[in-house]
Amino acid sequence: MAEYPGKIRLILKNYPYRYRDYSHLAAESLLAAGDQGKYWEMHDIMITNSPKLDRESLISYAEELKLDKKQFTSDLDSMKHRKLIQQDEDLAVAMDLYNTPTFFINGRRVIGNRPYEYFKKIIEEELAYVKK
Amino acid sequence: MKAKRDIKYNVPFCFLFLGGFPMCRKLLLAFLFVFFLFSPGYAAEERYSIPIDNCPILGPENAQITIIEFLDFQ
Repeated sequence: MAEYPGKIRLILKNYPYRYRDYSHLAAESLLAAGDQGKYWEMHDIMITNSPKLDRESLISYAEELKLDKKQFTSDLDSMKHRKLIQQDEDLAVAMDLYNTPTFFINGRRVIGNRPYEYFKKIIEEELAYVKK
Repeated sequence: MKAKRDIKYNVPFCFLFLGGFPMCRKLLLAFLFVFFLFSPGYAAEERYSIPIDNCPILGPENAQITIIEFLDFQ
């Protein structure tokens, strides 16, 4: 995004794998942090520290971000955003997604982690396409 | 009395039959030409429309490129 200032927007959808211990917790953590205005900061921390996403680690990240620890912990333990996460999951299932990450760049599907150049090519194509 | 076959099963045979007539052959060729000329457009990559209501957005709302990522942090 730094290479294309002002031209790209990014939106996340949670698709936690059901058989991983911390996937749902991490998704909840993201949304709980978002309630306190630190959505993207929590995203960055979790991406950097993955797979260290157990409950205690997530709470430590919240502390690092200076979130209200009590509120965050309550949200985490109660899975306050369970419905929102489920909506994203249902959408992913309905779209037959089988891998994460899966990207949609102006609706074009890209499955899995790809080299930067791969994304750049698609972005360049889309920028040219949008200009028409 | 022989029962009539449903017309839909006769379509491929119609094309073969029509190819026997010069004018129809020209029309058929023209049709195939136009079809294959424009078929790359129809064969273009599928684009998905994904709802993003109330989702946090990083970047400008009116950005030319929208990237939606389905992810699992673990």
